[in-house]
Amino acid sequence: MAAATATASSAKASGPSAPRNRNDTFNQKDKPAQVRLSNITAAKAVADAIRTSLGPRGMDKMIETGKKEVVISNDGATILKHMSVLHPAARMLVDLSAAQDVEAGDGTTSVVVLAGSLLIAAEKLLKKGVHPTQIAEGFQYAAIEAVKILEEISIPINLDDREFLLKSATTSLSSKVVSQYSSILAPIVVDSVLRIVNPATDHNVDLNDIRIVKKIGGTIDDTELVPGLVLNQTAITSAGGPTRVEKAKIGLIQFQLSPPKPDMDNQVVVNDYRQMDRILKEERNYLLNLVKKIKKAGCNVLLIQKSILRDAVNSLSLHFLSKLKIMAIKEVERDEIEFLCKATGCKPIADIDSFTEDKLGYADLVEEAESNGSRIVQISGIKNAGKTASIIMRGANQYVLDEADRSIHDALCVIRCLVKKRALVVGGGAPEIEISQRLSELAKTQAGFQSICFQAFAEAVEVIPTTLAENSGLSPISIVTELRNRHANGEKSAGINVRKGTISDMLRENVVQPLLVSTSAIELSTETVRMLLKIDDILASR
Amino acid sequence: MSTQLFNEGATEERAENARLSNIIGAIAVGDLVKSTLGPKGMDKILQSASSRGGDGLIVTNDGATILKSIPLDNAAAKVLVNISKVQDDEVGDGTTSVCVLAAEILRQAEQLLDQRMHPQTIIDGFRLATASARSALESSAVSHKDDEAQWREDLLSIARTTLSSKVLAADKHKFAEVCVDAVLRLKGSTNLDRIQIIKKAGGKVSDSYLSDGFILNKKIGVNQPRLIKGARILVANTPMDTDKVKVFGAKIKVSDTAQLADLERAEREKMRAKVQKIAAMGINVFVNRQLIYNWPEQLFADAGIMAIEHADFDGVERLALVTGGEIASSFDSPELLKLGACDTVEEIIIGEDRMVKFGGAAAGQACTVVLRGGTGQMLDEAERSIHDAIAVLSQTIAEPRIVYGGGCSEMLMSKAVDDAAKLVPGKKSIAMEAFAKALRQMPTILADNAGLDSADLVARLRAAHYDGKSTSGLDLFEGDVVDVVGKVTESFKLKRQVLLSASEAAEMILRVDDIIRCAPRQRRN
Repeated sequence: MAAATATASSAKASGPSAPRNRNDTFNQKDKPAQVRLSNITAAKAVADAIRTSLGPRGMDKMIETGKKEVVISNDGATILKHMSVLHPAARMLVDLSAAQDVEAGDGTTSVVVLAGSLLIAAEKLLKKGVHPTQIAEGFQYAAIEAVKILEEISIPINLDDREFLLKSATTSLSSKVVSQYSSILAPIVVDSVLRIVNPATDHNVDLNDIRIVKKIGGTIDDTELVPGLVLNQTAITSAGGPTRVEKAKIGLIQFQLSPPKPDMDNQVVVNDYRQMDRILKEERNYLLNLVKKIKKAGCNVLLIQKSILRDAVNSLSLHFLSKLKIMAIKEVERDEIEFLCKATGCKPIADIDSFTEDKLGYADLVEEAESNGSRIVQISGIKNAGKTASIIMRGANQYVLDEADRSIHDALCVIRCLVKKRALVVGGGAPEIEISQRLSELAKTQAGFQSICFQAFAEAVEVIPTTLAENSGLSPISIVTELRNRHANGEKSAGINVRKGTISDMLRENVVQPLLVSTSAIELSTETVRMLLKIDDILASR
Repeated sequence: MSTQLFNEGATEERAENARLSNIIGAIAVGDLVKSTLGPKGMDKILQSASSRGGDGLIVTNDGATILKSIPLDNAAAKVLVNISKVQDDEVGDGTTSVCVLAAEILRQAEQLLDQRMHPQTIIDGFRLATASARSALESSAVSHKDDEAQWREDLLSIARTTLSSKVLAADKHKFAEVCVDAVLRLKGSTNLDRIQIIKKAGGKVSDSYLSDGFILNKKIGVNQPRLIKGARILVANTPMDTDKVKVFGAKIKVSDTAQLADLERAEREKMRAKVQKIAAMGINVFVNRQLIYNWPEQLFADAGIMAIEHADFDGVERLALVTGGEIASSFDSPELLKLGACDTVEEIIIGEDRMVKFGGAAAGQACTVVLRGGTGQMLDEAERSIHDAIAVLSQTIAEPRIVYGGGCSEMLMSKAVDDAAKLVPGKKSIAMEAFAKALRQMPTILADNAGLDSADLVARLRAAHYDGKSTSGLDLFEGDVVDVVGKVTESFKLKRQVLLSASEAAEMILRVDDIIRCAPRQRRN
């Protein structure tokens, strides 16, 4: 009761504007301006943390996760995912980066850096006394204009134009750990996407149709796009089964080659020793029968789905399989089935009685090859193959491999963006400078708060070229001012040449990126900034 | 000298104290949500104390959501939370308004109490005021249901008004169309289950769209058709792994492996028979709530039937509703089963995920709003906004009268109450004037939140109303008093509910003169 009376008296004495610090219901409440400031500070801290990893000369971060695993990455989304961020506003930036990852797959660092810069701009406006909703609105219109500008300066492409696709993949890869290998990886990425899409009809790419198999050993140079299919699993050789089959007929089974086991509880009652012999014999017969039926259908490569209830194979059935020259591969996961079916043209078989020839897939060669210290099963020369692609990736250690995997994923997403929206913009900070200049022009034609917001947005966008220059060890001021100068003189594709440390025509330097990556970065970061600006209170809920 | 009346730990607050603690509590809650009101209202972050993970974070503008989530320890505050909840259930929107209005009424009442006016007199005055406000509101309400084009325009306008105070404000024209189309498909039904909202992270908010038909977030089995036209659908909840004999401890005893193999075969045959029974019903789409194992999956594939496993409870029930089928669990008497039907069933890709879309369902009313957005918080808030808009629209279709927003209705009611007060003898009229003042607080708060000069604007608005321009309201984007016809429209039912609930709650809180708090139950150890 004391609490309630205290509440009453304190609030009565002070009125609505004074602090209600004695009221235990609201004692975690902050003043709107403070909340806004704390949100902006937290979000800025996140942006600052990954700022240095932007661009081809960006640095990597090493993160030790809660489970004591080490992650080394240059990918914004990956870094943020592993940072355990507590502040609610900071968490929204983490989500923002994840959203960019889903939508465009690349530009996950830029989007956060851009959001951070927009927040700094908003903070300045707030200090001038502009109402947060007005800033939110102004930024939104500015973002719409920015996207229009980007679309205007973009270069439409055709998916048949492999050159352009290679260039964009190279740009994406050049900012990663694997940048020195971009000449090897870029063609792999482009070819694997082109293999699974039909340029005329498709407007989306299902990246699940591209399989990346990671093997430790060798260097990234040895990464290759495999004609056909590569399996994660290896052939079972314990019973001396074949590891190379020519003119393979591939069967994918979802039943097991082990003694029968009904779903109900069961018990085999043995009364005397003769019965024991009989049981052993029958088990042998049962398995032999199964294997014979498989052989009869012509199958000589057998993929077996994993089962949690019983063994996929036992030593006896393996023995039979090797006698009949059937190659066996077990531990196929259930969610792989669809991919395997698509890739090999076979159909899954759930019962021995329906094991017929028409369900098998055909390939010229199934071979378990050993290279660089690891064994890989390759299926090549597949007839009736569906649209899938397999990449074998190699690297010296797990960290390099993981980071290379993320880099390739980003590059794949870049190509996917181009399939979705077939246009390119140049890189190297050129489009940002162009946006900035045109928005400042527009700002002069706007009235009131809108004009200030446009101007602030225009300045905020310059964070990308500034950071690029900083991370490359160039002088941001001289570079950015010179860029402005060049753009003002009509050189629309002038950007920062990070390798040479100068400004040059990005189109000639082959630094290009998909339009979708840039537009989505601007749209998503503005959306998040608007949401952050509209918040005036943080409450503890139960 | 006092005798102990209550158990140890129990407390009592009397008369003045009780009233004051109630009023302060209610006003505090009102102040808390006040800043979210209107098109320029701000949002709040709700951070859960218990879960520090990503799901504990809510960013919202919705009064009901805010009040629902914060822990309160004040009886009157809880009453306000409650009326906001009721408002959410009844109309779906106006949850903040109802709270703020009740708090403002109580703020006025507090001053009257300070002047030593008896609570019952105040209540009497408030009742008279509510009655005249209500009749003024009713006489100002108009219905355009007969004029189809105008009616749709009204609905769009209501949707825009509701959405303009939410996170979707930037794309309110688009989402207003989406909501109105979705609600009109219901053909007057208020069963909102038929409008499904799917949230997919990625993309931007303006990429959201309304899809006719029902979307199930599941995959089609391997090797089965990806597109079926003229689908006949069986929705089932049945084990498709094995039909186990579920007698405790049932066990088979055999003497050799061959018998075991026979048993296994028998189990498989049983499943085959079951699949055949299902297939014999002439269906081409089979949706099961439980798993479908490999073996029946292959049988379905062989029969050319699309089989979808593991559709959750919600999915199965909605699917049965929209396709007009029934959920089946035994297949022995096919003549008793009602199959669902729809024109097409196909696999689609949203974002990065594959889903199954049931288009042109028999019931014809189903549709799905696919929401895209940058962050999870954005999506959640967008879903709440869409839900609010759809709820208001469906209520408006049931009660087609509309009134005008932007503070117009409040000013209208305030004027009516003021006018009526002049004819009422006695102290009651003071209470009525206080009520009118509370009503005028609503446009004041709207203007304050937009960062405008509220005193000036509200005075001009009042002048406009007394000048006979009874459709004047505030344009918060321009910061001016304008004619709001066709600009800011609200549902009559919503406004009436806000008025009645708020005055009722205020009255209830005023009536209290004693708060007894029982001691919390002692927990052992």
